Amino acid sequence: MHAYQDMVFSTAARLTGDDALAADISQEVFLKAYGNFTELKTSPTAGGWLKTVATRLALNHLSRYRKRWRLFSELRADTDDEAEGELEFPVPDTALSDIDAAERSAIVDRALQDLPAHQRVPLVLYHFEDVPYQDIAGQLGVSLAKVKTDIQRGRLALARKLVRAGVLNGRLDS
Amino acid sequence: MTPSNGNMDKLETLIERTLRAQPARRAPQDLQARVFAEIGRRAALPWWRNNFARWPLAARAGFLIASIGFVRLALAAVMWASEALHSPQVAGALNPARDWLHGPASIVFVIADVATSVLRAVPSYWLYAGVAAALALYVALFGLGAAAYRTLYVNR
Repeated sequence: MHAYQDMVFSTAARLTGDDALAADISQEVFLKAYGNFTELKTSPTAGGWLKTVATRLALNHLSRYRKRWRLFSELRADTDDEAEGELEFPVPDTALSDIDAAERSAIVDRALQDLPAHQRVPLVLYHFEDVPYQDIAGQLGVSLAKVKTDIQRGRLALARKLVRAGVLNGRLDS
Repeated sequence: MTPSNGNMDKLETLIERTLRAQPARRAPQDLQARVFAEIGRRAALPWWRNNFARWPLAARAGFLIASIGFVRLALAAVMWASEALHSPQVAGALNPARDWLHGPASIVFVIADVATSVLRAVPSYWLYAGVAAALALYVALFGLGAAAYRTLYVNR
């Protein structure tokens, strides 16, 4: 458990954007693993199994609440997107050396957490979990076009936050 | 405004690289203790409070047999009641009850008649105004919900 707990917690926390909820989901994942301990203890794919279960439980939780909040959060996110100026990245290498690695990592995590769920979830599935666009659309029950748009807007919103925080080297033209 | 097309690919590469470089989040220190405590709590539960799949085999078999017996008993009771209702003695005994039920039924019909008359008498624009008021209230409550969500949930 010790070897996998950070991975499981990270998966749940990045998808849900809520650490307390991610801890509950991680607990549930390990309880399920305990129930399947005889199969998992010798399995070379135990890590993958844990990650899949963590992703599924996080998505289940989000889908339970998504219908209730989706309209409001999408309204808010769309206004946020439109209110910002154009973003440009004149320098390809974007890491700024004067920011400590741990601090930089915390800022990125926080920025990711602050994204609205409909942008954060497909973004995390695509960039962290390597799930293709089509599969994300299937898992979330939305159209392929919406997934692509949400990921694109999510990247843009994330980049804006990171430029503002000084983690990325870019320029915001308002 | 959105980035120009040339910037889209650069943005994807940049975000991919930034996110890939992220180390795993540190799990809460008490996670392991919580999991073990929950395993202990579940192990301490009596068998009948656990998931059915984890009941002892004999208990599961007994439960299934008892369930089938109960269903058969319920079916037999329904059949017996149905036959009993059609017997002349029971039908005769039920007649007063049937007459008594006519009273409440007639009250319902009278209320429906009155409601129909009132609806015909009320000017149609009153009805439209009523529907509009209901819609306005619905929209107001929806707006209140959205404001509460933004204030209490999003900005937490």
